Amino acid sequence: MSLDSELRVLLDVRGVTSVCVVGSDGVLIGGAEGADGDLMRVAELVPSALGSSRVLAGLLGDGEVTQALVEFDRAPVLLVPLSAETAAGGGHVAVFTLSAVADLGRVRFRLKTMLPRLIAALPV
Amino acid sequence: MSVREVLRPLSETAGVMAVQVSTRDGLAVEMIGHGLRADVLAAETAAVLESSRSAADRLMLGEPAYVSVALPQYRLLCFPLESHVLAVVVGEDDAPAAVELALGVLPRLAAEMGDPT
Repeated sequence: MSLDSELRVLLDVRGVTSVCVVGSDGVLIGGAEGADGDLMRVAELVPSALGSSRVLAGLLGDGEVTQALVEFDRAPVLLVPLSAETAAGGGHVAVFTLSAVADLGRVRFRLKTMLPRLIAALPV
Repeated sequence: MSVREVLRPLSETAGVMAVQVSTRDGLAVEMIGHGLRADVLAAETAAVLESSRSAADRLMLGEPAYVSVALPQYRLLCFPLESHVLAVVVGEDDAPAAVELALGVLPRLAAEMGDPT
């Protein structure tokens, strides 16, 4: 299945309003969104948000960032590096916009089960 | 009540490794905890929140209420005030409770720092 097709499966998870995969440079690789989505703008969040997060991870000496959540007034945005390589500064990041923080657990669970398929669908 | 006294209950909560108040431009004001460089924590916390705020303008999702960075064992929580930032470093298992407590502390902290609520 193509990356966009895999991402459309994640869009079906209750609470997910958009999902995309972004390179660590902020370039949009693929995505699926609801009617109000704006994937390009969501993708722009990745480099700066994860860059500072990585420095903080180094400060704590606790390995790599496993995910970052920004809870905005109107919706939370979840950033998940798709591999250890991504967490360290290379590779891809999955970005979700959600209806509410309460949807986080469900999204994390589905992403965990779909991760091998997502990684397999990534461009080399 | 001093800033330290406002932060103390949060710092003594199970799983909390450190709490810090810093300015929005990255200067540490007060910190309770050990094992972390206060200046680096303040600087990078400010950077994380600033990038979130810039994204908020573009995404039109409103202001960031807080940022949570998850690591294998720890969670870093960053809460913005008008002119300051509250950062909490907590064990992963204790993070949800720490979020609730920190949100409860924010109004008293804002009052102590002279930030509007």
